[in-house]
Amino acid sequence: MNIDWVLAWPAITNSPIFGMGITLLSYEFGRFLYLKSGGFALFQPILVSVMVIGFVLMSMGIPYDVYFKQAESFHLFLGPLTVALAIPLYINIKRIRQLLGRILVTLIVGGTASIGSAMLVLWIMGGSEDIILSMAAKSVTTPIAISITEEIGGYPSLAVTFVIAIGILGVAIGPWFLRLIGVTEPSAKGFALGITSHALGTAKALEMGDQVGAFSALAMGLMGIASALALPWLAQYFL
Amino acid sequence: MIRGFCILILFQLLGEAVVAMFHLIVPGQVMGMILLLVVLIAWQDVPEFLDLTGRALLPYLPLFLVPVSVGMFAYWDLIKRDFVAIVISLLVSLFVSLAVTGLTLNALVKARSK
Repeated sequence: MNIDWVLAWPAITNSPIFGMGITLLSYEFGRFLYLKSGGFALFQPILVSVMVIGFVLMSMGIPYDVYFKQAESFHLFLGPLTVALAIPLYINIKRIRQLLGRILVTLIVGGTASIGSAMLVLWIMGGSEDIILSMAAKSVTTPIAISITEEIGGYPSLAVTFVIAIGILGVAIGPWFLRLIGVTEPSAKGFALGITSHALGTAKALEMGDQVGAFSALAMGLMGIASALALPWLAQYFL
Repeated sequence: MIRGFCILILFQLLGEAVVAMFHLIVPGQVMGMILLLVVLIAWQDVPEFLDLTGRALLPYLPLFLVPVSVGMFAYWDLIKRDFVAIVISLLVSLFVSLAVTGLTLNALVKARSK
């Protein structure tokens, strides 16, 4: 009997279940590290998972598209789960109604500060115009960010990278930083996470409580809609 | 569990339809969330089967965000030229955004409740 050892590895990495396998495995590894370290911020399961998968793909020369296709069934779950955010939103609807005026003021102030500071720093540091434009939509959930960036003339793929980077950074640093500067209201914590880090921030916010999660989902939705309306209009005047 | 999941998928599909019909820029799933919220407000309660599905699935939201997040590594060639400027601008805006948003709403909420 002749055993072909060399065939084992490609059989594993080419299998359609490989992408789901490393996604679950690396996520579980991240959860293990996170729990063992007593909740160390940089060991957020999603951060660990993305790093591990990135390393595995790069070191084995697997293109991202191949991995994404294999893991796409997970990605599809995002749709119904986004719809499910209506549940915490409804449960907290009384609080949201009560704070509506203050929420809208915060949306305008916070959203402007968030987008303005990123573009300003890039401009000061001499970033090229395409990159500055691609930065405009960085705090908006991915599908909206893609359409906005196409509209104002940046690179959509680059915008997606920024969206994810700011999302992961917000998850890792956000809760710690908000505590440090004395943001104690659950509504304010959630809203800050949602404005800054969209869906990734909302996923983290849900772990911090129902109200935090609801306000983050609300901020994510409002930020997306406000950016989609305001950014193409602003771009007309400044470009 | 399955019944709740069907409702979620149904509302996402409804959302996709509304977005297409009215040429909106928001994703179908966000429209689906808005539609479900409107229905829940009208119904004035969350049916138990829907609540069950939400509670079971929402904790896994970060897991389902992993595949799209790995895409960050796919655009290294585009980023590398301005890498330092990009990292600094993301970090600055992260702190500015969290601080301005968090402190503003925190102060506004506390001001009224006193």
